[in-house]
Amino acid sequence: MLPSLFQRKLKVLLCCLGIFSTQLQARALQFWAVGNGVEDSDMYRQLAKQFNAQSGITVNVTPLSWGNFNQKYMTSMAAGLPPDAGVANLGSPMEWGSVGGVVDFRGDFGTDFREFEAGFFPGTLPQFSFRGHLYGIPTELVTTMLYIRKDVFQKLGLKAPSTWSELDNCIQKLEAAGYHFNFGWTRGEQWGLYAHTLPFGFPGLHRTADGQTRLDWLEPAYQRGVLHALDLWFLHDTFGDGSTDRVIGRFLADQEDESIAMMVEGNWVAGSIEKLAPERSADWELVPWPRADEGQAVNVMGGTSYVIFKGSPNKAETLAWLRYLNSIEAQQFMMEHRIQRDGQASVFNIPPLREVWRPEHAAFWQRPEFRPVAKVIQASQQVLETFSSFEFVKGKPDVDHLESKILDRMGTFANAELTHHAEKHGLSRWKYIRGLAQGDFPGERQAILEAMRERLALEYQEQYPRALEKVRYAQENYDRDYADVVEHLGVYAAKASVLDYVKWGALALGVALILFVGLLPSLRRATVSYVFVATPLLIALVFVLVPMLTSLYLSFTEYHSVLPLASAKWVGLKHYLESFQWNDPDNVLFSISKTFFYVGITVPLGIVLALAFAALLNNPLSGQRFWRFLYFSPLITSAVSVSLIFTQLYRESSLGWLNAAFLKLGWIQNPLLFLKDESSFLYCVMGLAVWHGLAFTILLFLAGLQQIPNQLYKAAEIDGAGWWQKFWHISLPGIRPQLVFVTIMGMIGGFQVFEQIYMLGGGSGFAGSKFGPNDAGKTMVPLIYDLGFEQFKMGRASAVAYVLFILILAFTVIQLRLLRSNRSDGV
Amino acid sequence: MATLSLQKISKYYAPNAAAVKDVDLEVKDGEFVVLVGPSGCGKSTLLNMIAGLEEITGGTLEIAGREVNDLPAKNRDIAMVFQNYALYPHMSVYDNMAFGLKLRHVPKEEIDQRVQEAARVLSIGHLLERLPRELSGGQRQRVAVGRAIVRKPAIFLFDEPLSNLDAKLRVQMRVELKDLHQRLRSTMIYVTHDQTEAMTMGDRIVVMKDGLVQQVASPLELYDHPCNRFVASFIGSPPMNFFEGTLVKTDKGYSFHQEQGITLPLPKRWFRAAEAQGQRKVILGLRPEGIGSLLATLDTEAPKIEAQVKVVEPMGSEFYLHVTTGKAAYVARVEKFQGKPGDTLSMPVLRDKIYLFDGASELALSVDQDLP
Amino acid sequence: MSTLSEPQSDSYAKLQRDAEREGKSLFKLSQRRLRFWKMSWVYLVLGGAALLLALPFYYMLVTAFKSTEELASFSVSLWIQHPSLEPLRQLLEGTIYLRSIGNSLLISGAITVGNLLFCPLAGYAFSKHRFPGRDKIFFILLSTMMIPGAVLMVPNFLLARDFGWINTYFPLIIPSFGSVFFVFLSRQFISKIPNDLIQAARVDGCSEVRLFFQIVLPCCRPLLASIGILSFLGAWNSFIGPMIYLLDESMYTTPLVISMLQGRFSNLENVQMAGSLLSILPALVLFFVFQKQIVNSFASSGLKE
Repeated sequence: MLPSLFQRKLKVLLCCLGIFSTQLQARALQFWAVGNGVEDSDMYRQLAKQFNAQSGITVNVTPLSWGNFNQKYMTSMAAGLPPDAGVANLGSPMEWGSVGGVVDFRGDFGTDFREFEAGFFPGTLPQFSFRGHLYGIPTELVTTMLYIRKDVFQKLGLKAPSTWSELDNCIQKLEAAGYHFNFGWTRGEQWGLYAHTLPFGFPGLHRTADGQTRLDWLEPAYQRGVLHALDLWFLHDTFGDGSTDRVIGRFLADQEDESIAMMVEGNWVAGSIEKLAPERSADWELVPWPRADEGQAVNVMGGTSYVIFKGSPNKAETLAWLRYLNSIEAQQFMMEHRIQRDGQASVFNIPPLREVWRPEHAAFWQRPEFRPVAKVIQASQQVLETFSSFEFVKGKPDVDHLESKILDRMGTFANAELTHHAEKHGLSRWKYIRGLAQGDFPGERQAILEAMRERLALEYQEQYPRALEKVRYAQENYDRDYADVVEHLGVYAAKASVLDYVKWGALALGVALILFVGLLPSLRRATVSYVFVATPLLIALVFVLVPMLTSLYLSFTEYHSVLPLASAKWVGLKHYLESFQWNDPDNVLFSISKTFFYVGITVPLGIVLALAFAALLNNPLSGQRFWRFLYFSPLITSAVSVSLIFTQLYRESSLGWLNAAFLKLGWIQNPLLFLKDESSFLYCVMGLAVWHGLAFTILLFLAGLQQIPNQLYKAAEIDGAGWWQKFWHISLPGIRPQLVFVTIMGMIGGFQVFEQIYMLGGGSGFAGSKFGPNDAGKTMVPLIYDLGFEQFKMGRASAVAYVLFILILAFTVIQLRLLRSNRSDGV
Repeated sequence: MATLSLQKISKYYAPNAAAVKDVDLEVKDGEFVVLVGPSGCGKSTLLNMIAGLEEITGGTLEIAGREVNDLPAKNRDIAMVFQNYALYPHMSVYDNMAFGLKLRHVPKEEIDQRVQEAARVLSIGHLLERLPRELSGGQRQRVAVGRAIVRKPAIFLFDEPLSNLDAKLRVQMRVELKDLHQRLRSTMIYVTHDQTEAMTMGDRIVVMKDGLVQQVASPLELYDHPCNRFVASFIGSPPMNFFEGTLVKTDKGYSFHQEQGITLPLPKRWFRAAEAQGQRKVILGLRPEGIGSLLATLDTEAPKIEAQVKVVEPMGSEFYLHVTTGKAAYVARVEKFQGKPGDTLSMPVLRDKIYLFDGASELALSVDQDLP
Repeated sequence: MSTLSEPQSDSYAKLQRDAEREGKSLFKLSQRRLRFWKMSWVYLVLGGAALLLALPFYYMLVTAFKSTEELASFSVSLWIQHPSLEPLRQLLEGTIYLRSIGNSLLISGAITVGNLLFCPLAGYAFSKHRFPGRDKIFFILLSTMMIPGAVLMVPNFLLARDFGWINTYFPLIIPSFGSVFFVFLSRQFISKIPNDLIQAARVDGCSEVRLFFQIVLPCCRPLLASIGILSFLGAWNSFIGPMIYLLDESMYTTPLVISMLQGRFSNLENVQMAGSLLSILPALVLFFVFQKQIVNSFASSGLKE
C-alpha cells in the first residue's frame, strides 16, 4: 500500500492529467484534406470518427482543392493560422520545411518515429528530406503503367515490353500496322523525366554522398534519357487533350485508324476501363513501366503526402492521427472507399506501406470490389521496390522551372520540325506523323531525332550555367538569409518589424491631425466637414499610405513571408539593380517587355474597333434595346467566367470550336496550338481582353458621340463632307475626352492584366500557377503575384511592384503631356 | 439667277403625320423671304427641305430653274446658318470658313482670298486664328455667316440665327444682316419665330401654321390686310384684340355685338360683308393702336366704345391701357393718358383698324376699300 | 395658298394619286435608296459582328447542357443532341457554388452599402463645403487613385495578417469602403446641385447632417444608382482579393469557385461551362431589365461634363 500522502499526490496528479487530457480533447485537430471533390474529405471524416472512438481525439476535416493548395498552405503559415496537419503534394514539404513551416519528423519526434519510418518502402522517403530532416510522409502513390491491348499484340505477334528497346520495337510494329501509341499522363511534365533519367542514376539536381551539389544536365546518358522521353511524347500521334473518357474509348476501339493499342497512363485509369467495359477484360493487360536497357528499373512517383505544421500546438496528437491513418485498418478502409466511388473518382492508388502488401493481407485484395483493379494491384506489386527518389536541394524549384521551359521549347521545336517535314511532303502535320509511323519516310524519323538531340544538347548547354547560378543563388540566399532565422524563430517573432513602426507612425499622425482639428479654432469650425471626409481619408491612410511605406521598405530587404516580419534582412538596392539585368533570376525585364507588348497592341486595337462599332451604333437603328443588350452585355460579366469559356474555345485539338471553324474554312491545315504554344499564347490573351473590353469602350464612345450636336453634322453635310470627313473632323474631335480617358485607363488596366492570364494559363487548375507555356504570359502582375504568393519572396515582389508603379506613373504623365500639347491653349 | 421655286411641297412622316403641306412659293432672285410662325408650324422643316437635309415627300423644288428634289445638299449651291452656329469646335475660325471650300478642292489662293474678303465684310479679320470657344456669341454668329458667305451660294438659308443672342445684340445683328443683304444682293430665306424680326427684315413674309402656308405678302400688306385671324394675331405688337360675337342690323347700318361685351357700330365699308354674313358668328379684330388714339379722335364719325381702365402701362412714348367692357378685356394703345385705373373712358376707334373674320373659318371678310 | 379644310389623310392620298398619275413613286430614288443601302450595310455589319461577339456565350450555353457522353464523342457539334442537366447537378454537388453566391452577396452588399454611405458624404463636403485644406486633401486622395492595385497587393496582405484578418472577409470589405473614385464621381455630380437649395436649407436652420440626408441625397438618385451598380459589380467580380485572403473553401466567393472548376473538373467541359453559365446568366437577366440604368452608370464614369 502506498503512503497516503503519496496517494493523495498521485490522485491530484491524475486529476491534473485528467483535466489536461480533457483540455486536449476539447481542442480538436485541424486536418486539411486536399483533393478533387468532396469524396476525400468524406473519407477522412469517417476515419476521424473511428479515430475519435479509439483515442478520444477529435479531428476536424476541412476540404481543400488542388487548384491553389500551395498558396493556401503558404498563406496559412504566413498568417500563423496553419492547420495541425494536412495533405500535400510530393514537392512541397521540403520547401516548407526549409523555412520552418512544417515539422521535421525525424528531429521532432525522436525514437517514436523510427519504427514508423521503417514501415515505408525506402525509395519513397528521400524526396521529403532536406539536409537530413524529413518533412513529409507519403500517403499514396501513383505511377505510370503500360496499358496493352492483348488481342492486338497477339495478332501482331508481339509481347508486352519489359525493356525500352522492346518498347520502341512494339511501338514501331503497331504503328506500322496502323494502330496508335498514346503517351498520356506525365507527358511534357518536367518531373516525369525521372522515369527516363533516374535509371542511369541521374536525378538531375541532387546532393552527392560527400555533400556536394550536382547538376546532371550535361551527362550524355541524362540527355539520352530526356531525348527518349521527348521522342515518346512528341513524335507520335498522341491525343494530347482528350478527356480520359475519349482516350479510354479509343483504347477499346477496334477500328485500326482510331484505336490505341498501347498507351502510357496513370494506374488509376485501369479502374475506369474495367468498369466501363468489364466484358473486354480479357482483351487488355497492365504492365509496369519498362526498365531501361542498361539501367535499373525506376518508376516515377506521383501522389500525395502528409505534413504536420510547426504552428500546431498538438504535435503528439497529430502524429497519433497520422499513425492511425497509416494503420492497416485505415489503409484498407481508404482503399475500399476510393474504389467504391462513382465514375472516374473511383481510383486505386498505391499505398507505400510495407505492412499493407504483406502476404497475410493478400486475402484483402481478393474482395469483390477490388476485382476491377486486380490488374493494377498485380502490376503495382512489381514496382514497389523500384520506387526511387532523392533528397531535396535548395534551388531545385528554380532549376525544375528552367528545365520545364526547356521541355516546352523542345515541344515547340519538335512540332516545328514535324510541320517542316510535313510541308515538304505537302501533308498536314498529323498525316505526316501517321506516315512516319507507318514507315513511309525512311530515315526522316532519325533525322528529326538527330536534330532534336542536337537542339537539346544546345539548350542544356546554354541553360546549364544559368541553372547553376540559380542554385548557387538560392543556396547562398537561404544560408545567409533564412537558415539562422529558422533556428531562432522565437526571437524574431517577438521583435518589432517595419510594419509596426509604420503603423505607430500612422497612428501618431492620425492623433496629431485630430488634435490639430480640435485645438485650432479655424479648424474646429470645420469639424463637420472633416468628419464627412474622414472615412475615405482614413481608409486611404491605413490601406494605401501605410502599405506603400511598408512596401517601400520591404523592397530593400529579403523577406520570406512564412517567417516573422522582423526577420526581413536589409539588402539595399539589390532587387532593383537585378531587375534590370537580363540574367536576373526572375527575369523582370522580360516581364516588362511582355507587358509593353501587350499594352501596345490591346489598347490601340480596342480603341479602333470600339470606334468603328460606336459609329455604327450611333445610327438610328430599330430595336435599340436589343442591339445595346447584345453589345454591352459583357459589361457585367466577370473576367474569370469569361476566361473559362475562352480556355475551351482555344483548345488546341481539332475539337475546339475555333480550330474546328478554321479547319473547316480551310484557313489552316493543322489545328493551331493557341494556348499551348508560347508564341501564340499572349495573342490569345489579347484576343480575350479586347473582346471583353469592347463593351465598355463602345459604351463610352457612343455616349460621347451622342453628345455631339446634330447641327454640326448638318453643317458638314452642306459643306459637302462625306462620311469619312464627318467622322474625322466632327466625331473624333468631339469624343476627345472619352478617347483620352479610354487610352489612359486602358493602358493602366493593361499594365495590370492578371485574371485572364491566370485562367488561360491554366494556373488555376494545377498545382502551382503557370502563366503560359514557357512563361509566355508572365507580365508584371503575374510576376508580382508569383514572387509574392507562390515563391513568397516578398522583398523582391515589393521591388518589382514599385518598378511597375514607376512605369505606370511615367507613362501616364507622358500621355497627358502629349495629349495636352495637341490642344492649343488648353482648357 | 438664284430663284427658288416651291410647287406643292409636302412632307409626311406617316400618312397621318404631315409636317408641311402643299406649299407653293416663288422667290425672286435677290429677294429676302422670311418664314415665320409658331414652333411646330413646319418652317424649319421647310427650310431643311430646301437645304436638302430632309426628304421631300411630295412636290417639286427648283433652284435657279433646276429641279433639285433628289440632289444631295452639297450639290444644291446653298449655304446655311444655324441657330447654334454649328461651328466646328476644334478648328480655327479660318479653318471653319475654309472647310467647305477645301472639300470642293478650291485652290488655296482663292480660299484665302474669299475668307479674307468675308472676314473683312464681317469685321472678324482679327479673329481668324481663334477657336470658336474663345469667341463671344455675336462673334460666333458672324463666323457662321462668314462660313456661308465664302461659299458664294445661290441661296442663303438662315435657321433662327439670332435666337441665341441677348436682346440688345439681337437688335444690332438684325440691322447688320439686313445691311449684308443689301450689299450682297443674294437670295435669302430666313426662318424665325419672332414676328419683329420678320417684319423688319423681310421683303416678303411667309406666315405658316401647322404645316400650311397662311399668307405670303410684304410686311405692310400682312399687317394691314391679314387674310385670316391667325395672321392678324401673329403680326403686330401688342397683338390685335379679338371679340367673338354676331352682326346686328341697326337703323344706321350694321353693328357688331358681343354678349356682355362690346358693341361697335361698323363703318360703311363693312356693310356688304355684314350682309353676306347674316346671322353667322363673326370675330371682330381691333388693333390696339386703333383704339383711343389721337388720330381716331380727329374722326368725328368714328365709332366709340366705352371701357373701364384696369391697368395702365406707361411705355414712355405711349401708354398701353388694359381695359374692360363688360366681360371683354382688351388692350388700347394711346399716345397720352392722364387718368388712372378705374376711370371710365369713351374711346373712338380708327376705321381701318377694324377687321372682321368669319366665326367658323376665321377667314377675313372682304372689305370695300373705297368706302369710308 | 392652301385651304384649311382638307383633312390630312386625304391630302396624302391625293399626293399618292398624283404621283401614280405621273408615273413616279413616292419613294424617291436616289437619296432614299442611298440611305437604304447604307442602313442595310450597317445592319449587316452590326449583326455579323454581334454574332461573332456572342459566340463565346453561345458556346457556353450549348456546352453547359451537354451530357458527358456527348462530350466524349469525337465530333464538334454546334448544338445539343441530348440536353441534360447532369453537368449542373455535378457542379452543385461537387462545389459549394450556391454557398459562394451567398458569400459574394454578403461581401458585395457590404461594400456597396459602405460606398453608398461614405462616398457621397465626402463628395458633398468636397463640393459644397469650404474648409481649410479642402483642395489639398482632395488632391491627395485623388493621387491615391493613381496607385495601381498590384503595388498594394503584397503589403496589404502583410497588414491584414497583422490585424488577424486572414481568412476573414474584413480585408475584402474594409479597404473598399469610401473608394476615392466614387468620391470623385459624387463630387462632380453634387457640384451641379444649385447652391441656392443648400443655402435655403441653412437659412431654415438645418443642421449639416440633416441637410445632407434630407436635402442633398434625394437629389442624387442617378448618382446613387451609379455608385450602387458600379460598386456592386466591381465587388462581385473581384478575384485577386478573395484568392489571396480566403483559406476556407466554404468562404469562397463565386469567381473563386469558378476559377477552381478548371482543375476540379478538368476534363468535364460541360460542368465548367455550367459554372460559367450560372454566374453570367443572372447578371444578363438583370442587365436586360435594368439596361438603361446600368448603361448610364457606366457611361457617367467616363464622361466629363
